[in-house]
Amino acid sequence: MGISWLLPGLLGLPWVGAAVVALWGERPRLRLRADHLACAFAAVSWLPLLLMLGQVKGSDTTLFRAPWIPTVGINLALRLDALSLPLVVNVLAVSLLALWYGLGYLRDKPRLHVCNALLLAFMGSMLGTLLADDALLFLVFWEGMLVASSLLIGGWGEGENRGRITLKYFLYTQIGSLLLLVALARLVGLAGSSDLSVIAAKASELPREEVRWIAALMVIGFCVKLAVFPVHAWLPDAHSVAPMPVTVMLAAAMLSMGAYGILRFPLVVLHGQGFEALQLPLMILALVSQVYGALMALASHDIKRIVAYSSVSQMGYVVFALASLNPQGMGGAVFHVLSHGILKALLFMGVGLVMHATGRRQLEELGGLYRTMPGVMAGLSIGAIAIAGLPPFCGFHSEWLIFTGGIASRYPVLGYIEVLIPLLTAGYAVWFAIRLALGTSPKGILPHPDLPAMSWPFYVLVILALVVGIFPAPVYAWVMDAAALLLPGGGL
Amino acid sequence: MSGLGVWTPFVPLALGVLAVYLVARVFTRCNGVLASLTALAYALSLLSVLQLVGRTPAEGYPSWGQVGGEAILRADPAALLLALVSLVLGLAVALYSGRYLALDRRYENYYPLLLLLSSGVLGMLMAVELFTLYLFTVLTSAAAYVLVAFRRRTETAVEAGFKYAIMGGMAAILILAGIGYIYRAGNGLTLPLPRGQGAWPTVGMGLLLAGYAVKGALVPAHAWLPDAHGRAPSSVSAMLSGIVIEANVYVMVKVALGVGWPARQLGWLLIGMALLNMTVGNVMALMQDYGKRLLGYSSIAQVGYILLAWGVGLVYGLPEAIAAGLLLLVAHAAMKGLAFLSKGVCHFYCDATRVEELDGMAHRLPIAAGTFIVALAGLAGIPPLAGFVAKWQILVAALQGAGWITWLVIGGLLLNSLLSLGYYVPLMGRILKPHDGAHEGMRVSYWMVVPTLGLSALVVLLGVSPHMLWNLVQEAAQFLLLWGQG
Amino acid sequence: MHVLDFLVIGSVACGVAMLFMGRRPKMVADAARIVSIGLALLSLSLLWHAGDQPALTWHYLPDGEPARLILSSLGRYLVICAFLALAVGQMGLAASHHNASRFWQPGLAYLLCGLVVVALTVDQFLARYIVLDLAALGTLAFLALGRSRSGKGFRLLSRLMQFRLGDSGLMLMILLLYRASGTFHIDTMLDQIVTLPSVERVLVVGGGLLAVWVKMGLPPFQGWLADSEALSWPERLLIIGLGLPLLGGYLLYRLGPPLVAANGRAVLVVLGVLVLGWSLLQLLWNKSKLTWLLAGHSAIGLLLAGTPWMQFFLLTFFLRLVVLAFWSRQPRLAAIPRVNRGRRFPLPIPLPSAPPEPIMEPANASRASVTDPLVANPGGRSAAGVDASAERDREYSDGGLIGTLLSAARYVAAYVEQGAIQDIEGGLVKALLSASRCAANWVEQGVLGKAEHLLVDLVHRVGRWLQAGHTGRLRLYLLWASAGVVVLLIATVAVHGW
Repeated sequence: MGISWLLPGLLGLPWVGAAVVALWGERPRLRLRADHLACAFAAVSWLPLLLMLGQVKGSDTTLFRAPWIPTVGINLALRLDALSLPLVVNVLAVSLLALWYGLGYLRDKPRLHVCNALLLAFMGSMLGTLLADDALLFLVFWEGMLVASSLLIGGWGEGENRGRITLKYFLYTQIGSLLLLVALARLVGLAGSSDLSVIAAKASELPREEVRWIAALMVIGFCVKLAVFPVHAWLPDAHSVAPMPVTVMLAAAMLSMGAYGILRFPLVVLHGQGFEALQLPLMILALVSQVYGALMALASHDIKRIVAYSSVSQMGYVVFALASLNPQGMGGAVFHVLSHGILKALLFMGVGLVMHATGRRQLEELGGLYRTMPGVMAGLSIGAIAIAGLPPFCGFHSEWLIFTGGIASRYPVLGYIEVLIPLLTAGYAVWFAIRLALGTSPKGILPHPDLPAMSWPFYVLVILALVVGIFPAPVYAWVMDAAALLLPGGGL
Repeated sequence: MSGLGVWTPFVPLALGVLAVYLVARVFTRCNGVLASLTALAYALSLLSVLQLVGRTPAEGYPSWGQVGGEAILRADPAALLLALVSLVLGLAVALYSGRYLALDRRYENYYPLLLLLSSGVLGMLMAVELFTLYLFTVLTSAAAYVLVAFRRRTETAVEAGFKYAIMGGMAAILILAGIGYIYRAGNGLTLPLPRGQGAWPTVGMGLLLAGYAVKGALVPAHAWLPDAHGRAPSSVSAMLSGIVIEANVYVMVKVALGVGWPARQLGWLLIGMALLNMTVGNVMALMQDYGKRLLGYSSIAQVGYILLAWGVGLVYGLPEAIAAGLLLLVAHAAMKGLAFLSKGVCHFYCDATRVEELDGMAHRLPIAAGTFIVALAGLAGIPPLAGFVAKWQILVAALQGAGWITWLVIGGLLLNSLLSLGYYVPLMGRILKPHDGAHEGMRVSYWMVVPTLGLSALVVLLGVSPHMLWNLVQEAAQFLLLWGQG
Repeated sequence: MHVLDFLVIGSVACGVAMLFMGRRPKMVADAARIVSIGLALLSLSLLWHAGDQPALTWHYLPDGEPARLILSSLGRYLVICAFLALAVGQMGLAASHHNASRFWQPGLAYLLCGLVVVALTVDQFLARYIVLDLAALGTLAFLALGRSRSGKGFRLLSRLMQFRLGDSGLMLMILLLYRASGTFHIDTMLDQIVTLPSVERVLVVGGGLLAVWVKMGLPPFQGWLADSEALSWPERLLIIGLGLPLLGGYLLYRLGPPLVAANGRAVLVVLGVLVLGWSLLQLLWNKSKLTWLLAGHSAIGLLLAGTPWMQFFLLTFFLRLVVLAFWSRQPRLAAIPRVNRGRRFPLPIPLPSAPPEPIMEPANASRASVTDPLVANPGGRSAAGVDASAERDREYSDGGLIGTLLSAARYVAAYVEQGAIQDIEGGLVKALLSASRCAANWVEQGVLGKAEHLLVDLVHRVGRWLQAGHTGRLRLYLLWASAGVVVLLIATVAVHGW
C-alpha cells in the first residue's frame, strides 16, 4: 500500500480547472477559448493516473489521508485500488471525449465558460466519488455530481420543459441519496468512524440485523442511480433534454457510479453480508429492467430517447451481473461498465451528429442518411452491433463474462433467460441503425459545416470499441483484479 | 460566583437604545451613523458574551440577581450559544439596515427597537426566574410587534403586526396564567424547581407550553408567522426567523425541563409537534407565491427539524441528538438570516416580492443572488454547507435510538427533505435563469454586501469545518440533558 | 510455418488490404483473381500435409489456453473446398463487375474465406463462436450491400435476428459445457454432453441444433438462402457455397457423435425425414427451387449425422459449388418468393393522441411517397393471396387422384409457407410491438406517470386544504382559544375554591 500525493492531484486537477475556466470568462479575441482550456485540463488530469498505474495492481492500493474535522473523526481520505481503477479510467476517458465533442457541439451556447467549468466540476465530482475513502466525503461528492449535472441540464438543456425535468431529475436522484444518507449515517454510527477502511475492519463485528437493512437501503439507493426498472423514470427525460456532452457524461460515466456504489459499499466494505437475501429480487428486477428498456426503446420516437432507454436496458445487465455474486459476474459487471461507457458515448455522439447535421430528432423525419453521412452511419451501425454483443467489439467480452456469471450463480435458470436478452438488444439497436441509415431521405437535409471537427471523438470511440474488442487482455486483467477484491478475505 | 459578568452583555444594548435614539433626534438622521452605532453596541455585547463562554459546571455558571436567595439570570452554555447567535445575527442586521432602511426611514424608531428586541431575547435566554422570563418575553414581543408593523403606511403590514400582537398577547396571557399556577404550588419561581409537586405545576406548564408554542410559531399556532415575515422589513424577518422564534422554542423546552416534566414525555411531545411542523411548513411553502412567505414557512419546517432532534435526544437520553439540534439551530440562523437579507437586497434594488420576480436575479444582482443561492442550498441540505452537516448529525444521532419511533422520525425527516427540495430547487433555478431583459448589473451598497458575504462565509465555514463551535455545542447539549435529569 | 497458417493469414491480410484499396477497383479485381487462384492451388498442398500441425496460436482470453488451428483429415478437404469456392467466386466477380461501387466484394470474400477456414480448424469453442459470429456478420454484409430493394431494412433485421437466435443457442451450449468441463477445448467439451443432467443436456443439444438449423438454412430459417437469390451468382456462391452452410454442416458433424451417444439418433432421423419431405414438397411447388434444393441437401446431412457417412456428406459440398456455379447466371429479382414480402408494421408505436396509422395500404401506392420504406405493404400480401388462391383453384381443377394429392400438398405447402411461417414471424413482431406499446402507454405513462401525478397532486391538495384553513379564521380561533382558557380558569377556581 503506497501513500501518494498524486491522488489529491488527480482529484484536484478538474476542480482547479473548473475554477480557472470559470474565472477565464469570455474573451472573444483570444484564440484560447474557455472550452479549449477545459479540454486541456481534462487531458492533463490523466497524468497523475498514468503515473500511479504501476502502483495499483492486484490487491495493492494507494492511499492518501488528511484530517478534516478531527473532533468527529472525519478525514479527507482518498483511495485508489483495483476496484476504482477501471472506473476512474472510464470517467477520465469519457469526460475528455465529451469535452472534446463539446468543442463543436456547444460552441454557440451562451456563457460557455460557466458551462465548461461545470462540466469539469461534474468530472471532478465523479472522480471524488470514486476516490473517496470516507463516507461523508463520498456523500459530498455524490451530491456534487447531482448539483453539477442539474445545473448543466437546467442551464443549457434543450427544450422548454427543462426546468420541470431538472426538478424531477433532482428529486428522483435525491430519493436515492437520502436512503443512502440514512444507511451511511447508521453505519458510521455503529462503527464509530466514517473512514471506510475502519468500517471494513469492523464489519464482521457489527450486528447482523442492522447490517442487513443497511445493505438493503444502500442497494436501493444505488439502484435509483442505476435507473433500474421501477425507479428509472428520471433517466429518459434527463438524458433527452441535456446537452449532448452532458448526456454523454451522464450515460457513460455517471450511471456507473451506482454500480461502483454497490460494489464498494455492500460488497467490499460490508463483505457482502446481507446481500445474499437481495440476490434473487435484484436478478429478477434486472431482467425486467433489461426487457423494459428494450421495449421502451422500440416504442420511442425521439432518437435521443431511444438511446437513453437503451441505457436502462444496459444497466440491467450490470445489475444482473452484480447480483450473481461470483467473480466472473463481478468482473463482467465492471467490464460492462467500461464497454457500455465506450458504446453509449459512441451512440450518443452519433445521434448528436445526426441531430446537428439535420436539425431533427424524430425518427419519422429521418432516414436514408447513409448517402449524406456514410461515416457516421457506419459508426452508428458498429455501435448498434457492438451493443448487441457481437464480436469483434468490446461488448462481446463483457457479455460473455455476464453469461458465465449468471449461469454459475445460484439461479442458473435466470442465466439461461439472460442469454436470450441480447436478442432484444440486437432487435432495437440494429432496427434503430437501419431506420436511420436506410430508406428514402426526407427533404431538406444538409450536413452542418462543423461536422468534421465534431466527428473526431466519435471515430476515436469506434476505434476504441474495436481495439478493446480485439485486445481485451489489459481490461480483462483490471477487471479480474477488481473481482478478486470482492472475494471474501481479499482486498480491503 | 460573582454575578458581575452576566449583566455585561445587556449594558451595551441598553445604552445603545438610549444613545441611538438621542443621536437620531438631536444630532443627525444619517442612516449610516445610526447603523454603525447600533453595530457597535452589538459588537460590544458580543465581546462580553464571548468572555463569559468557557466556564465549567464545577465552578458554577455565572449568574446574577437575587430573588429569594436564587439567581435571576444565569449564563449557562446553551444560553450563551444562542446569545452568540442572536448577537452575530443582530450585528449583521444592523449593518445591513445601514442601507436597507432607506426604504422606510424613521431610523430613530427602528434601531432602538432592534436593540430592545435583542436585549429581550438575551434576557429570555438567560432568565432562570419565571417572572423575569415573562418580563423579557413581553419585551421581546412588544419590540417584535412594532417592528413587524414598521411599514405602517402599508395596510397589510399593520394587519400582520396586529395579528401578531393579538396572538402574541393571547400567548402572554397564557404564559402569565401558567406562571401563576406554578407559583400556586408554593415553591418559588426559580428554575430548576424541586420535583414532585402535584397537578399545579403540570397544568401551569401546559399553559406555558401553549403560550410559548404560539410565540415560537409551532403548528397549529403558527398562523401569524407567514404574514409577519411577509410584511416586515427583511432585516426584521431575518431576526424573527433566525433567532426570535427559536429562542421562544428553546425557552419552552428549558422551562419544561426545569419545572419537572419528565424528559421522555417532553421528548414524545416534541417529536409529535416536530412532525406536524415539518409537514405543514414544507407543504405550505410549496404553495407560496411570495418569496418572504415561502421563507417564513420554511422556517416553520426547520424549527420542526430542530425540535425533532431535541425530542429524540430527550426520549433516548442522547446528548448527540440535542447537540445536533443546536447545531442546526445555529446553522439555520445563519442560513435563514442570509436568505432574508439577500431577498431584501433583491427587493431593495429590483422591487422583487413575488417568486416569479426573482427570475434571472443572477444577472441583475450577482452578489445578492450568489448569497441567496448559498443560503437556499444550505437550507436544502446540499453538502458541504452547514445544513448538510447538521442534518447528518441529526441522522447519526437519531439512528442510535431503537424501535419504531426511530423509523417514524427518519421517515418524516426524509420525506420532508424531499418536499423541501420541491421549493428550494425551483427557486434556485429561477434565480439562475438566463435573463432576457437588459443586463442591469447593479452595484449593491457595501452596507448590504458585507453582512451578506459574512453570513455566507459563516454558512460555508460551518459546513466545511464545524468543529469551531463543536465544544460549545456539546457543552450546551450536556447542560440541557442534565438540566432535565437534575 | 505451416501451409494452413499461411493460407489463413494470407486470405485475411489480402481481404483487409483490398478493402482499403477501393479507389482502384480494376486492379483489385485482377489481383483478387490471381491471388485466389494461387491460394486455391496452395490449399491443394494440404492433401500432402497429413502429419504436422499448424503453429498459429491466438491468445484471445488473457488467462486461458490459446486457441490453435488443428487440421483433421476431413478438415483438409473442406479447407480446399473453401478456397476453391473463393477462386471460382473471384473469377465470377471479376468477370461480371468492374463497378466502383462494388469494390468491397473481393476483400469481403477473402475475409469470409479466412474466417471460414479458421472456424473449420480452430480447436476452442469460444474462438469458434467468435469466428462464426464474424462469418455471419460477413454474410449479412453481403446481403445488406447487395442490390437495394424495398423493404430491405426489415428483412435484414429479420435475418440478423435469426442468426443471433442460432448463435444464442450455440452460446448456451458453450456456457453449459464450459461450466461442466472447465475448458474450452472442443473435444473435451463435447465429451461432457453425456455426463450432464437431463435438463442441461436438452438445453445443450437444443442450442447446438438450433445453431445448425439457422446456419444451414433449414426451414423455417431458409429465408436468408432465399434472399441470396437476389444476388449475383458469384456472391451467392461465396455466401452459400463458402459460408455458413459449410460451417453449419461441420458443426453438425462434430455434434453428431455425442448426440448419438446421448440417445439422440431418433430425434435426428425424425427431424431429417421431416425436413427432407418438406423440402421435396417445396421443390415441386415453390419458385425458389435453389433454396429448397440446398435445404434438402442439408436435410440429408441431418439423417446422416453421427454416422460414418457424415464425412462423405460433407464432401458433397464440392457438388454444391458446382451446382451454385452453374445455376442461373442472372440474379432473379422476380424469383423472390412472395413469402419475403413482409407486412406493414407501424413503428415506432404511435402515441395515443396521434391517430393510428393505417395498417393496410393498397399495393399500387407509390413507393416514393412512403417515408417508411422499411415496411413492405400488406396489400401485396392480399394481392398475392388472391393470386395464390386463384392459382390453387386452377391447379385444383386438374383431374386424377395423383393430381389431386399433389395439388393438395402444394396447397398445404403454400399455406404454411405463405401463411403460417409469416404469421409466426409477424406474430412475434406483433407481440413485441404490443409489449412495447403496453410498456410505453400503460406502464410508463399509466402507472409510473400517474403515480407521479398522484403524489404531486396529493401534496398540492393538502397544501390547498391547509391554506383554506389558514385564511380568515383568526377571529374564530381566538374565540375558541379564549373559550378554552376561560373554561380552564373557571374549572380551576371551582375545583380549588381560590
